[in-house]
Amino acid sequence: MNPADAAEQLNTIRTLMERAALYRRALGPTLVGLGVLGLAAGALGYGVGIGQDHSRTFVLYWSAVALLGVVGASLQMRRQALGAAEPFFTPPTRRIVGAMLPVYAVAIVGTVYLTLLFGALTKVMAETLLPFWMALHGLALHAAGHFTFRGIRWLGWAFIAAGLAVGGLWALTRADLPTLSQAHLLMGAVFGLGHLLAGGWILAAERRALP
Amino acid sequence: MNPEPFLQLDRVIHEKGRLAILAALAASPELAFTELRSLLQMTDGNLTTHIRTLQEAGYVAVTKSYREQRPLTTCSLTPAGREAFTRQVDLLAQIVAETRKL
Repeated sequence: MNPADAAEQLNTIRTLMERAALYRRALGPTLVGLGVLGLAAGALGYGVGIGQDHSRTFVLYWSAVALLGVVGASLQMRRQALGAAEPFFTPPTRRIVGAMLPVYAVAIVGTVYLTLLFGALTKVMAETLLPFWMALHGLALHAAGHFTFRGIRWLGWAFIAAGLAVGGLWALTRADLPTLSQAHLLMGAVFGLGHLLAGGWILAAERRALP
Repeated sequence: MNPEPFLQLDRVIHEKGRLAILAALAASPELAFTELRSLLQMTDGNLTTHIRTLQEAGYVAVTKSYREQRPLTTCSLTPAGREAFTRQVDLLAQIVAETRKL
């Protein structure tokens, strides 16, 4: 062996160790599924006017949508794992769950806290909850992005930016705050379109990479 | 140049494919056979041969089980395998460092 071979082997080892620790399941279909769910939930919430006068109903509705999203995404990933004859809860999966869990714990506790404190003030809830949820979901994705494709980190930044933009806009302009009914539309647009566009982009990139 | 690190290189894991298997397993507590195959882009036969060699050297443990009524083969590094891999990486780093000194 010559020293150049040794350097090359070290480089290969580093690359392989990094790749082995990363979550590599196809995220495109999962993100598209979440996007469709977000858009449908937003449209249904606005159309039917779910919880437009009761912020607790609004919170419960979107919590149920989030739970449905988590269960659906888990089932889809489990199906992928079974199809590839691989275990579902692999070490990279554990790392991702570990990275996202603290942020979602803050989101759950924060939502309960805000609902108990300002539950009666529907406009304040719409003003506070939406940027809070968007930014925290972005932080969770950004944390997960360190253990999977780099693009997930960018998706995280996009949600963080959306949360800051929405919150900042309302705080700075004191614009006419949305009703909870209108908030459904904004939730559907940001969460639905955000995931749908990211999933579509990943699927297109995978198709381009095919030989 | 000091020839000592060259002489100490482990012949079993000196081969690129086997070193790659140990590198992947060093980064993860265990990996399914199929995960290793797609990560290293090896054929089934090639990967099986390398894993058998590593298993015989006591560097890799192979577990066969059933999950969801499907056979699942997982591989993990044994303590001896981790030690051999660490030693090999140290030796490679030593070789590179000595070259830079020249």
